Amino acid sequence: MGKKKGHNKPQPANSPIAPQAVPETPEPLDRFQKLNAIAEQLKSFSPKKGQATPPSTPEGSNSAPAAALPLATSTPKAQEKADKRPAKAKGKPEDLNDGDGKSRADIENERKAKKLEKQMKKEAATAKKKADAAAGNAEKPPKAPAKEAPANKGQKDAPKTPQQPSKPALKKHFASSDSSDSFNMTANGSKNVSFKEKSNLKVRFDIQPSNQYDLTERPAIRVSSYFVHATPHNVHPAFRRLAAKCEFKKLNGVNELLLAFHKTLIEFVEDYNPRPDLPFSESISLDLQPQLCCLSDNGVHPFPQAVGNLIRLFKKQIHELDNTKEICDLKTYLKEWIENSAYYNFDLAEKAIVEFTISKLKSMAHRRILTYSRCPIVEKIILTAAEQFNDLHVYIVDDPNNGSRGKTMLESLSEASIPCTYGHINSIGYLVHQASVVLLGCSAILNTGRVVALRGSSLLALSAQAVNIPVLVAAKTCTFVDKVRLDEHLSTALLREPIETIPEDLVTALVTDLRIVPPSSAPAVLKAKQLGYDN
Amino acid sequence: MADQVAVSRLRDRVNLYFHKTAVRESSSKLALRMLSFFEDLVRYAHYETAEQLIAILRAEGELLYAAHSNEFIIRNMLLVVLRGVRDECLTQTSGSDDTLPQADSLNHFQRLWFLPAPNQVQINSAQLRSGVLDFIKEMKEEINVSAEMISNQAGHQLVKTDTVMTYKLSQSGTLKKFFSLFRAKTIYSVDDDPSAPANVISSVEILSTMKLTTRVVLSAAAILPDGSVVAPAGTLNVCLAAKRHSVPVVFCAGYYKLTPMFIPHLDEFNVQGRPTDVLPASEALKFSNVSVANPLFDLIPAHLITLVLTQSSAKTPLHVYRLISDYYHLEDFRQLDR
Repeated sequence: MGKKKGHNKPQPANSPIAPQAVPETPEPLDRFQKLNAIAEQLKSFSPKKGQATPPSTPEGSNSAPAAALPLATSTPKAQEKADKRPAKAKGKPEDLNDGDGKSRADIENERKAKKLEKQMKKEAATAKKKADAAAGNAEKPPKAPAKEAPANKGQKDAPKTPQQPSKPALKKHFASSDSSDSFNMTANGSKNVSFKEKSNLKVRFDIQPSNQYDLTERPAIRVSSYFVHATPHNVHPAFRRLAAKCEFKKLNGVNELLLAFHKTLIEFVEDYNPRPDLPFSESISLDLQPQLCCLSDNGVHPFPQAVGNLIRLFKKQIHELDNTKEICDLKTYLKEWIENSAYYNFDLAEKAIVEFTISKLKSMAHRRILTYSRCPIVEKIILTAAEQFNDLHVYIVDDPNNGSRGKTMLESLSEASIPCTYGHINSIGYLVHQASVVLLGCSAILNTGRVVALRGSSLLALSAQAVNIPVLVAAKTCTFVDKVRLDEHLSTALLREPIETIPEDLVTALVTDLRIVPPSSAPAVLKAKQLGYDN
Repeated sequence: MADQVAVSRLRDRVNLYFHKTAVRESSSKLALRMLSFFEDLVRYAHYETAEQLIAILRAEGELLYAAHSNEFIIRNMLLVVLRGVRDECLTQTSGSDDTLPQADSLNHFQRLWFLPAPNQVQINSAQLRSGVLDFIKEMKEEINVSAEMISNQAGHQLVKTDTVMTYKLSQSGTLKKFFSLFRAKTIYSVDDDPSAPANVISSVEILSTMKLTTRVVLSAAAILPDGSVVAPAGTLNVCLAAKRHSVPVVFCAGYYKLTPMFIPHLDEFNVQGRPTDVLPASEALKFSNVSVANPLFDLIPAHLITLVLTQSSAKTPLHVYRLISDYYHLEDFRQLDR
């Protein structure tokens, strides 16, 4: 049936038309045209309001089959609409009839108007959000758009359709009367807003990677959680500086980013004045939100994995704060925690990783290391190893399209007079025959043991496996994340470098600051460091 | 004496050809030039027997190959011409019996028992000359249509809806012809310049794009008898990624790239390109103790290759050696020093 609802309702007595089978799913526009024709006919039966025929008349050819349509399809919808309306409208029979005709054309125009309304609402909502956020109130007022909408509808309808002047009145009446109705509209409206936005995000199922990393085009995750719109008023300048640095590519790589993030957090805690009405931990966690939103574009881009780890642990610390203590005590406690974390995760961890790797290198006959682009930990390893061994040779593979960071590594190594060879990705096949071990850096280790690293590292791992040389990945335990991903294609909030995941079967071992582990032991490391989500 | 002068002049001319070309042009053009060189030798040199002709050709060819030892095609063409000479000789002595199956190595041994060696046979040198020149002309023609004939086989190996990955499409004449005659739906070209008629991706994206690919079509620089292939540097990454994702790898090559030589380790052969392509000369002082790796070729082992397309056939790498005996004579490459 055309209308699925209530096709078993009794037909009106005055209908001379016998019900016939309606085509299963007629075109909506078609349907309305036909129904308009019926409405016309009905109006001709009861010309109470002295109206002209509705302008949206179908062609003569349509009206003939339109007459054959059963009225059963029109009445249920009309009855539904009538049910929604308050009893006042139901009382007058001519209103009901006119309501029929109007509801058809109404629906058409409503749909047109709704689209406009959505746009207006979006603008109104963002304007309201900004105003509210400034005042500290983040709730989206649901009523205000609804109140605005009918007025807009009335305005939009008047130039659009040369309809009767009673139409806007009816619409306003229709819209504002029933609270549940307006709720429906706003719910619909908001849903439609997000749907529209989603459709703007160009979700593609056949992602074709292109030459330029056009990060604005990549599909972004829409975080559905509650967030606070970040404005200049509630974001600490330290975070803005961090964001600016990242944008201008002053910070390369996760390591530098993490260090900078630590410093930013310390600054933030130091300058922070808690709100008078809330306990310290709650107030600081509340005010941390807009800072993070500023960095991550309001949840559009996720944070790089290791940074996410840090944020989570920091929030946990805040949560566990003893609010009875003095504020300055709490602040010092937090600052100390951050500094400790930086010390453990950077100075100590790197020392441990370097030691472990060198003990592995000691047992090798030829120390010829193949590495990709620049990882600061790998650089440290090589520099320390060069002091101990004198037969070290380093092969650096670089990606010229993306910053050529291998060259910075090359500089620092050649300054330490370490013999180096430099090549692009097409030289991997040649260099891998000469190297005896591959050393890679990473930005995160996933739960399954997959390594998140710079794009192109997997090619080294692949070639290394083909010639049977070990692949070691230098991974700090703070970069282990309790997530599972197949691929990392998404752009992250702060680091705009292209990354990918190296499958775990291509990696021989992860050199962590705890010990050297095979990639399959990643969950054990997570548990040991209590970085899991359930802790 | 006149022929000595002629020969030396030809020698000079071909050496000049090598010096003039700053950028290496396509292999087919090089093969044609080599064939012309040998053609001229056949035409202008003086010889009485086939053996003499063979000696002259081999001397000149080996000299040229020694000067440019990274160009396998020189030797390949020499071997083709030598085979042509032997064939001509054979057809003339056995009275234009050209129904002998040349590809059968057993027959070679059989014939050695019955027929005298070429140096003992008195044949009409004029006839020999014209015969060999005809043969060379045929071979040249085959080179000219090789790209097209390879592309004709595309329809058997690929479907229109395939997603095809290739390497440096715009630098290979064979591949360009292949893809112009066969319009695949999506073509990814790795490391190409942006004007190529394909989606150009960077080599860092090979592994992630391989998930979407259904076929890999590549061009070979040389095909070795064990089925391994010498290809432009960087192709190894594509082949390894294809192996990982079980994508069939197809190599296209004309017959002039069939090299009857085993290369166990490419280092001995591998040519390095200009270091300034990798590190700009402005940084030469800063990196004075740094060596630059810019290899031109990669050796792709046979187990990574699914199919080798030549203009006459499609063969798995295990059967490529049979093509060798199609084009070359056993006698000639038995004595190669490499």
